Amino acid sequence: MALRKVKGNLERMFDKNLTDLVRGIRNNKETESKYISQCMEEIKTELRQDNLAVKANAVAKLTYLQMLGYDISWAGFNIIEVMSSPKFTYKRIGYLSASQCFHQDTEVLMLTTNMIRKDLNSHNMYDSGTALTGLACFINGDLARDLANDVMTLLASTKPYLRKKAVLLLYKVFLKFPEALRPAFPRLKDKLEDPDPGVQSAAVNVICELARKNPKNYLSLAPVFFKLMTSSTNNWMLIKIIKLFGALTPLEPRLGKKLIEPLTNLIHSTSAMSLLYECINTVIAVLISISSGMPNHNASIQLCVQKLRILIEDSDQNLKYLGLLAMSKILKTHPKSVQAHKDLVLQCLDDKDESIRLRALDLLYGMVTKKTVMEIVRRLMTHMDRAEGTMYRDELLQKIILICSQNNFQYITNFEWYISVLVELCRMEGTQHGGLIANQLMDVAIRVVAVREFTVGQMALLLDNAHVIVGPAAARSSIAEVLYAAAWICGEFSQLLANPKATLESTVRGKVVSLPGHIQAIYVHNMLKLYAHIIATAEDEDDAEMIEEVTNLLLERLPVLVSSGDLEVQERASCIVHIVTYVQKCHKNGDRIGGDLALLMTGELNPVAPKAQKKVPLPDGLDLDAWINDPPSESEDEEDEAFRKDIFIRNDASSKHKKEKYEPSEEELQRLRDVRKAEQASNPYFLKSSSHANALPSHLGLGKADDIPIEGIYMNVPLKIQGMTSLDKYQMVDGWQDSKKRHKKQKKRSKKKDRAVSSSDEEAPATHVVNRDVGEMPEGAHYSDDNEADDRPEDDPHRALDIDLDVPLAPNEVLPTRSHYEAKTRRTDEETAGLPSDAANQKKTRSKKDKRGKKEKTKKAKKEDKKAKKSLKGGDNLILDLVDPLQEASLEATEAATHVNGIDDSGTEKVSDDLDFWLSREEPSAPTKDDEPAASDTHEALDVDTEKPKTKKSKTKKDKKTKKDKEKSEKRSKKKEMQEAELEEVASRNREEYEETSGTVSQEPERTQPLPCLRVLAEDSMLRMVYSTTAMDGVMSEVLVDIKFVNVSSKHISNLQLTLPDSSAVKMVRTDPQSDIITFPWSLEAAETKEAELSFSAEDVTIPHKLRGSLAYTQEGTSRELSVRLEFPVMTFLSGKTATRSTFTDLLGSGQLSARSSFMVPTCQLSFPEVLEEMTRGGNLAVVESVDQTASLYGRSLHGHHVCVLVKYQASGRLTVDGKSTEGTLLSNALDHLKTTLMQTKE
Amino acid sequence: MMHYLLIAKEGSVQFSHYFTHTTPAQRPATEARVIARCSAAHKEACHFLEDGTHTLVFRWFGPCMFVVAADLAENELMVYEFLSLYVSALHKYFGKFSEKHILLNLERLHMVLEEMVVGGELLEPSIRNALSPIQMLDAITSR
Repeated sequence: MALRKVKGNLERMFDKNLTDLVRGIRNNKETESKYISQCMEEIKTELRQDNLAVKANAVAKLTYLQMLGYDISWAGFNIIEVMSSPKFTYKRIGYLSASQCFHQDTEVLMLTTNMIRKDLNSHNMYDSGTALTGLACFINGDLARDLANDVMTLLASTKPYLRKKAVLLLYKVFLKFPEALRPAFPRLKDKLEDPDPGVQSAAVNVICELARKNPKNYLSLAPVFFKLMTSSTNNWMLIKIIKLFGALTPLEPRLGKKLIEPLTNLIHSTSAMSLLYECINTVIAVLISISSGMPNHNASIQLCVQKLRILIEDSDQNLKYLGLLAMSKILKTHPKSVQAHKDLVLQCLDDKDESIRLRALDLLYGMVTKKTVMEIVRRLMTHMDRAEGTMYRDELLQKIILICSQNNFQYITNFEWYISVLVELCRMEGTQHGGLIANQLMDVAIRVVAVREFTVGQMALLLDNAHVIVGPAAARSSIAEVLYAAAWICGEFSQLLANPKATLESTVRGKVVSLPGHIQAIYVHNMLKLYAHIIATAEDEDDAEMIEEVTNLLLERLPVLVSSGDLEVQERASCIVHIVTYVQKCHKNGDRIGGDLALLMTGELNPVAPKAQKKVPLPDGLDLDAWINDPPSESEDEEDEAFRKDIFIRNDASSKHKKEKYEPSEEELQRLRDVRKAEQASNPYFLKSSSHANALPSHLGLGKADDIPIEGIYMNVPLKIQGMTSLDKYQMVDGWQDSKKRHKKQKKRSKKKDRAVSSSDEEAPATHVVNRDVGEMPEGAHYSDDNEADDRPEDDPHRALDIDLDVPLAPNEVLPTRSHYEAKTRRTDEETAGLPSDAANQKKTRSKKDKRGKKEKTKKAKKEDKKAKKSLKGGDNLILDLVDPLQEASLEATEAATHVNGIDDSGTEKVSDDLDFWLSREEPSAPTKDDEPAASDTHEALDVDTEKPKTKKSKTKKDKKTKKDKEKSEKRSKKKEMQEAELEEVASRNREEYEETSGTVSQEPERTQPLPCLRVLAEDSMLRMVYSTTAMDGVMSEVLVDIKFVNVSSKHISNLQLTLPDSSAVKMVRTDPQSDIITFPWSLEAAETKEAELSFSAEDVTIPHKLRGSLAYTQEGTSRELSVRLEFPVMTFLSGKTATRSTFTDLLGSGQLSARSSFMVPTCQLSFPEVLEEMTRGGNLAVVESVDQTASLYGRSLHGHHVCVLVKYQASGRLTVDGKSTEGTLLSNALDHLKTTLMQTKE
Repeated sequence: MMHYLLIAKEGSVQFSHYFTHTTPAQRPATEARVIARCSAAHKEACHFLEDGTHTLVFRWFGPCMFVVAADLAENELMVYEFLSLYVSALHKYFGKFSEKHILLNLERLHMVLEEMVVGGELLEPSIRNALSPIQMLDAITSR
């Protein structure tokens, strides 16, 4: 044995280590694979040895080989062996290897659960750290479920090093085991406020990742993040937070409004480009989410655009790229601001970097106007000629078409020009976008009646020169698709053809067979249309020769197609052959059949909306799922599928192939046609086909266009086709320069008239009338997007993480713990076997484990164990289930588990309306103009101050760090102070504003102190006593009661004596503590009013109190007595005087406000200011902020309880009041009181 | 989130570290494609490339090219800055970092990276904090 060991060590000395392997591979460049297979063999023998050092060395080498691309999956078990080594250096090698080789389907992972748990709970921080890092790479569903609880335990570790790693690992746990999210979330949230910045940052990272995928569940965290954002200086964390806000703002525009200001400040102050870029991005997201224009938004958008321009102009290509990327986001909502930078974008089009050019292309899309479209397209076309790669050329082509066709050709004024562009594009070699061009050609031909004749002419030429277009290079491109469009257009509008016979000839010429099947089919079908048209006209002219000629032509050519391999072509061809033979037969008999033949093809075509097919209602009695015939065999089905796809043009094959199933009856068709005609008649944009000749724009001088001398511009196109349109002429005749001049004139003219109207380019003369409808829809259907489905792929783990986190935890929502798991399985065993009771069995297992675990147990662990047993005796079922007394660590785990799984309703529930509170505290939505410059001044002052600490690149200069840190913290605190001061200023301003407005409601000169709430103390025919209460801020729990005595009689009242015995809870502060009686030293004349002040103290300010007593007085010798009732509703003990915005913010952010309550008044008779008046009367609550019909109020009780109230008033008089407080009883009593007062005043 | 980091020299992989898992079988093809695409880019061209569902962010340090594949939503500049942070961490750790270190100290490269990134998320932006566990370990093993 010993000998073997020595031998092993000896052998080891000759083993290669990793460095040797690396060197060896480099030295054997030529015979690498041979060398490596030799090494593999060595490694295999090494792995067979018992020595862990040798094994670890082997595994390290394997990891390297895996990196080079060799398969090492066979070594999984050996890797686990090394992972389980007690020596850290080996363990690390094992974990590294596992992290790079294992994946969630690796089977050996099943064996690792306990080992990893042991490592996670290890006393050595680095063991756990390594385990956490490794686990993050290879965690799978089972591991996530079994280890979730252990990871949670590490969240509570005393070492930040472990806490932060555990936090980051949590994300992976959630992905693999979504059930863990809800129970773990409260703890994760707590980590946002961890004292260690690293842990904080890790938690931000995780929540940011989670929230980006399911933002709505994390809205309630906005206040916490907001606080972090305004306080943190860690740029990378800021980036994450700001990114998170970017995801949240689309859901909550109010949040966006709140963000604008701090983000703009950051944009001004930061020098870190990454942060700047993120800020701009989020500001853009905010601006997109806020639909209503706020006056200062223009400023922010301008700021963004300016900053982006700086980025784009930077020599750093990275910044240029990102600048363009962000710019394109602004473009969607604020095209005007981007259009100002057209020069820059066009400049970028010439950049040598392709990715920059592509980004610039994206932007061009939105820069087009009616005026500029021709110029931009011309530039793109020249780029296209120069472009070297087909990829970029295709991209250009696609962009040209996108630009021109957007919004149903919104920017196109001259459609002949556009057709020319499209025809030109057909001549680009090797494009993949033939289908796109074809669609455009057909779309224009259908929508723009005025250019139909022109289009048809061009298409006839295209057909005639098909061989040029479908050249030898066509096999790899889809350019043949344009012939599909050409054939269809020529056939459909054959009456517009100059020479139908020539076109028919060009369609039947030999090349047809080489085209793709679906195009052949269209060819065949349109031959018939052409034929019908020719026959009809020839019959009219009695041109028998022509009839015979075309008939023979078809009968001669069609048989080739009848034998086509393509089923569709075959069927159509044979059908047409029969029609033609029939026509021939009829003509021999001397019958005229042209009219009947033409009937086959009558009917008008209109654009159909893209979603029309989906919206066609299912006719009664149609069951699409039922088999019409017996189900065909599988193979037939497949064939059918393939066949169908070929019939229709590829782009919309899937949406169309349903069409066959719905066949309206003849009457229905007729009705639809009538409706359509009526619609067209009333549609001013629809030009009737009969009038097309007149509609042709006369100024274009169509016929003469070709006579104009054209200076040839060299274009890199394969061939010029005689007569085919060319763009060159538009540069001369209709070019943008020309139109520019025209516009100048127009502008001059319009400037005089009305500037506002002429500001846009909408006045560019429209030369063609375009049918710009979305397209036809079935009756009653609307073109709206009602199928906003989750577009994430089915297997996206984030789908499962769409979990509402604000709903309180249910008792069964706990993280599974190991012992719990085992106990459960055991129990089921017992149930089936009928063995002794649970407890006994559990004891057994426990004692077994004890034996096993004894070696590892420390003294401390024993103590803990005892504790645990004590708690077991206590009969705590939860712990009984959870406790695993194996190790100290696992005990910790159970403690954590009980903590984590403890159900904390208020904690989770409060979150959602915290947000509401927080968000309701907005800036006034429209600041007055006087305020604005002042505010921006303060920003600037702030900026100067904050610029320095942030611009420092302190990351690399560690030596000076401590010094700098001090500086930083000083500056930070300064900044904070300033911000707070500013906030308070704003708050006070707000209050002033509010008070002004309420002042207009009740015209009273003294508005500084709100009117006290007067209540009747006692009343009879002689004397009336009213009182008001004020909470004494300075003195703890004292309330000042101000009693007014009014003599309502005409006689003298004297000897007033108030007897008011103290109750257990409320005591009067007396001058003479022995006596209950207070004697007032004055008397009241007739109609005289006198006041007296009494102080009371209450022990419990959370409940309402009452005092009963009596008042005795003498009037003209007769003494009378009145019973007195002094009420102290809880509102009495509140004071709003201390309310400031900052304390309010802190309160809501702190999470102290655990109690919540609310009520609703369905129809409140009071106006909103009156409601506020009612609530603030007596100074009990103060308005912190009031926006529109929403206000936040604040009050503090004499014992320091905080009460926050949010009042929302809806137009219908519906009033909702939500309250939050640190004290539940106080809150509910306060709200009860408010409710009754509001209801009373209603009556 | 970052998915993997590659270091390539003369078109071949010198070092790779995967933060999220891709099956080993796919890796050589992916790596070859990524390296080819990044190397093809002009040196002064933009250092961000879209690669399917990832953004490639690459940066040259001497003859070596560092590539990170990140989520599309990730802030490219941040990843770019991270690359330079990683290299400065390596500089700090090795004294003067050169491509020779990559070959001979692979596991150290992994370790430094693991201290800075866990599960593809940036963990530690401070070089000193990131290096301290490794340096401590070195001190222990050398004793």
